[in-house]
Amino acid sequence: MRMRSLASLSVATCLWIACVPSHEMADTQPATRTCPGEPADEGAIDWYFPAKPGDNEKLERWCLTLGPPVIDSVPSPSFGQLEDGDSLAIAVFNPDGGSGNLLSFISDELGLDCSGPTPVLKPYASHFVLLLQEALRRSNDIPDVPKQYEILRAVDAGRPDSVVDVLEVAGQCGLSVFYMPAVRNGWEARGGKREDKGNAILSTLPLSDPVAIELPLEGARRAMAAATVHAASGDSLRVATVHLETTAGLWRLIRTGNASRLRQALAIADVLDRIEVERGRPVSQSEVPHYGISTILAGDLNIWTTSETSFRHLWEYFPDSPGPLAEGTRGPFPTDHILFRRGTVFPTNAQVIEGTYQRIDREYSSDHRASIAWFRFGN
Amino acid sequence: MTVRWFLLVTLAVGVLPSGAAGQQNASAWRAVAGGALGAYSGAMLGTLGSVTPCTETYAGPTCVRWSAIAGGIIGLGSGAIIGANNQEALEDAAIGAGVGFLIGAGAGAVLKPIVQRFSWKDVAALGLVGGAVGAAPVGSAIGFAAGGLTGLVLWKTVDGVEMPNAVAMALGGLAIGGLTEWVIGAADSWSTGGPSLQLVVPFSVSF
Repeated sequence: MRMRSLASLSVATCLWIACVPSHEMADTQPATRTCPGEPADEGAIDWYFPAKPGDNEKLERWCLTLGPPVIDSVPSPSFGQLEDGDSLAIAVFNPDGGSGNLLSFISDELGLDCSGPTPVLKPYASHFVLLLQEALRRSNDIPDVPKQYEILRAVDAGRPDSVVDVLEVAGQCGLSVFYMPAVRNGWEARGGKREDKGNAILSTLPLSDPVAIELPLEGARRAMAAATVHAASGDSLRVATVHLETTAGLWRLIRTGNASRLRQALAIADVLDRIEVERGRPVSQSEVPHYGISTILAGDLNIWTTSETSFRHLWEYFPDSPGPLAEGTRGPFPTDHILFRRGTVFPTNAQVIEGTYQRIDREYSSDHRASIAWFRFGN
Repeated sequence: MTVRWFLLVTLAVGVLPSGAAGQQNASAWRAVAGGALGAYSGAMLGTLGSVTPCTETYAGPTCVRWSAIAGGIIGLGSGAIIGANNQEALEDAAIGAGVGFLIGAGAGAVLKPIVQRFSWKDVAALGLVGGAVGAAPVGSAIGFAAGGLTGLVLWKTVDGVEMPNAVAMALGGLAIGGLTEWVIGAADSWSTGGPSLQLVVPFSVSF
């Protein structure tokens, strides 16, 4: 009897440790949520939420501090279509709020000169999709809320560019943009404007089917943005930008067995499956299921090594990814990655062009280095 | 919520005295206390030691959970033996856990206003970690130093060994050292326990 009591204590202690909450996602806004507002407020954006009520209770408090997502799906007509034989550059960059030198990055790495009245894509440059994390927006559409709300401290690094707002950058460069705010960048207005930051997709191609995804809450709110680009041939490519949790608190770390990023990674796989299934795309029954259109997921995964559990699961879900870069993109840590899986809905030949996946050594005043890869699709 | 209730009920069943238990002698109660303290310390040490290496595996949190259970079982057995046989050692471990909790929680309270999103739960967690380490301080310290030093040297000299590996070695050393202290303490208590040693045996029979 006594031994049983002792054993029960031990079991109870161990049950308290390393319990991973559900990563399941839902495609309808929970009744308890008032934020984001009615779908009509945000155009055609399709939202996904964590299914767990506890996540939604807390996410509501983060969401209320933010301005609305922004979609401007049509780029400058001067860029034209993605034709047969064209390659498509996919770049991933975390500009650390307003610290990163975005205009220089776009000009020097992607070949788009935005300095004149009309943006000019240099002759050697290809169409591109730029997937950003911690992109900054400055706007008084961002609500004035009490300081007690869930608000992160502002990134306080320098701002070398005069234009730091991602929406201003997109406008100046004639790019299509889908901006999905994740958190506030400080409570106080700066230069007369409040600020939030999140994930953004900028492209020389039109963006369609925008999807906003709130990931399960592990520390700060994380919200993915996904959209689809098309080739002239009709082939489609979904592109998604993500920023996984940096470090959950110690309590959470012990309770979940350090499963914060794993939980978010599994939620991504779940939601990408749901997106394709809900769009009625065919499903193949291979060992690793492939659904729908080809998909690129890129972002700041905040992993310490490429053998981390969350990355292993994402790698399994994106089996056509280029080999992960060994070099660090945030100091010594390989945090930023481009992942890819080929879809089944079109007779697609989407693929990464071998040998093109590389880290960009210049930091552009950010605390991250960017990565870039060239893809072929639609031809 | 279900897990929370299960935890509370389990703790209640484990800790509250039953009618029969009330008639046991003090040594038996010390075994219960030692087992509980050992289970808590061992499970927490198992978690700390495994969290970094397990996060490098596909299994991730499942690996951490089993490490916690293994640590908890080692601590449970060792703590029960120590409690039944060596009151002084048990008192030392309990005092160490208390001091460790205060140091951990105190450090957490200092960090709270400095570190963003560091909640009161995190303060409590740091206290719990401190308590687990404090219950086996010598082994934990030796293990941490040995593991950390080894990790540091390997990180600086061997290609492919990175900073996370060095952190893993330090925490792994802490866990192994702490659990070793529990086991050595149990072995010492067992060998020097004298008459009270017999109190442990009937538990095994009744189980």
